[in-house]
Amino acid sequence: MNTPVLRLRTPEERVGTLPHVSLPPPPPALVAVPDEEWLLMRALRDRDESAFARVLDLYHPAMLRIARSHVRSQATAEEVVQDTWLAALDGIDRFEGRAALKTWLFRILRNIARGRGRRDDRMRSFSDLSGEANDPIEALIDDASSRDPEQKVLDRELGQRIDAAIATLPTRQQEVIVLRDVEGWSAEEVCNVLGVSDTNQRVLLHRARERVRKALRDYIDEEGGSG
Amino acid sequence: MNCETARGQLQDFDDDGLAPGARAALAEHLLGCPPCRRELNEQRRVRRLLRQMPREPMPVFLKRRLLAALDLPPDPFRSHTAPFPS
Repeated sequence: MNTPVLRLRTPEERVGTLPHVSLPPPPPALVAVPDEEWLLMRALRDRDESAFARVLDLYHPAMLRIARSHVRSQATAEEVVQDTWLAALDGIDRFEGRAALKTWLFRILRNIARGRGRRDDRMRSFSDLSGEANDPIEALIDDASSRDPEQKVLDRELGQRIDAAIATLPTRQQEVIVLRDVEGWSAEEVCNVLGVSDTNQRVLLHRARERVRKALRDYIDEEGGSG
Repeated sequence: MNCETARGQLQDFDDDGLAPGARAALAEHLLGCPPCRRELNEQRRVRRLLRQMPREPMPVFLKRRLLAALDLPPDPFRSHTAPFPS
């Protein structure tokens, strides 16, 4: 009779089975498209309409959030996204392949967004003088019908709270937490786009997460208590 | 490993930023330290919430405008003034 071979689990495996210590699910953004670079190239260099429509959908949430971390209104952020795509279409022949095409695209986005953000800051002094309130954090949540039904989506109020918490962070921290935690990018991708070291990226991410956690303290306590 | 060291490594624990030895040591600490486990659990909750943030679709008017731009010839002015990354 064969005796089953018993193997002691490693501490890591044991942690994985502890109550209240479950690993988060994989980020949805990375699962959807197996070869984003190929798709982007088809869209920009070949001007393939189908590929272009797909990359517009694929990158819009991340692009809009990054733009929003630099500019003050949703409308301006959408303009930034639009100008980024137009610039990428016009300038694709100048892409030399020294970085990933996605990195190149998001660097263009940041350059445009930063320029627009500086212009926003200059304009704001005028609206402040006139007593016109700048719009608060606009909800980045709407149109439930267009979402992936498989993806669990936060309720609107909680989503708004998280958006508001992210909006209070310094721009760099916003960019890192959006790309790493909301969009599921790797640390390397984020470092390439932002031009920061891995150590710097980790510090920014840690600070951003801590501040968001503090802002959600009551929700997390409640969820932890009931779970 | 004490709690202060463990807390400093929790983020790297989930981001695969620890060497195998350090990872095993932290896992061992977590098994015997409920407060640090609670801390790890909270950090993971925040990350899970962030990953569940809604993804805003591109407005239809903007998508139409950009798709129409595919048929336009490149704009030499724009391509020479756009702030391309170095």
